[in-house]
Amino acid sequence: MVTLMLMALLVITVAVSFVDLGPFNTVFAMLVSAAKAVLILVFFMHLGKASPLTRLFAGVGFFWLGILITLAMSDYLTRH
Amino acid sequence: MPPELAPAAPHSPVAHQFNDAGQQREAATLGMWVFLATEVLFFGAMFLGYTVYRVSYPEAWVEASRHTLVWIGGINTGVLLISSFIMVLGVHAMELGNPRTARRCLIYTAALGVLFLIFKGFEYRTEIMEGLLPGAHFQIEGVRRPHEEMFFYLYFTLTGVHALHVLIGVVMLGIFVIRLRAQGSNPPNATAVDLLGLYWHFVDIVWVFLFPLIYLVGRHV
Repeated sequence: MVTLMLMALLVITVAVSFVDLGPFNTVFAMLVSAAKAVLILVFFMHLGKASPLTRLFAGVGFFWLGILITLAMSDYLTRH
Repeated sequence: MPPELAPAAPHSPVAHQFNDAGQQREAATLGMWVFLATEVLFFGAMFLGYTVYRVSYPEAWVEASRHTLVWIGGINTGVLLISSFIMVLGVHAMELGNPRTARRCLIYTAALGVLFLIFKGFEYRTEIMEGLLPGAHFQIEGVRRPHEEMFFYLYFTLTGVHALHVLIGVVMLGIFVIRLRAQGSNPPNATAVDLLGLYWHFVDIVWVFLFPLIYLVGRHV
């Protein structure tokens, strides 16, 4: 069930954080968070059963966030 | 008379501008998602600030994150995830026409929200007593460290704004619980409870991202 998967992901993300994966610790943690968010969005927030228009409205906010972070970080990460 | 101007059936709850209940429900849902998109903007700006500083001062981020209380953070994550599950049960109960069951689910959801806030308050108190509140008296193990202070500035702002959202959610749940009482005259309908659920799950999602970014930076070091 979805809740059990969410709790399992929580335990995994804490456990893995204590293992040294170098830069991949952050990547892994973010992937787990994204997976949890997708589970919550699709099942708890019914996006799995929603109309395409609803899914579009739901996706737009996160897409905007992607633009914000990409554009801003492309500035900071290319400064010398 | 054209169908869109025809009055709705006397006992129908559909407002006159909608063709049917399904369309009304869809409009309400879209409206809530628009609001949630603005919440993404709201939290997103702070997440960007976090990202910029983390990339600029990675060692300070590791050092500062070590001073957060990971066990409380982890338990709080579990508390919110379970509360979201119970909220789902409540929404489902409303859809099945069981307002009494839904009311109980909302009570438990709100109780878990309050539990989250209690743990958060205990955390804040511990950290403030350790001198981790940004300001004139900030210190990490006796030393003034500006970059670690920036981490804690973002920590208190991000988790504080999030906690405010949890509190607002708890208040809304409380209002719905009162309106759903046995002889209540104005109970919320299934759509209203569904929308409150969307808000609550969104607050949960924000925390799901906050948790590793605050508590799990460089835990392996």
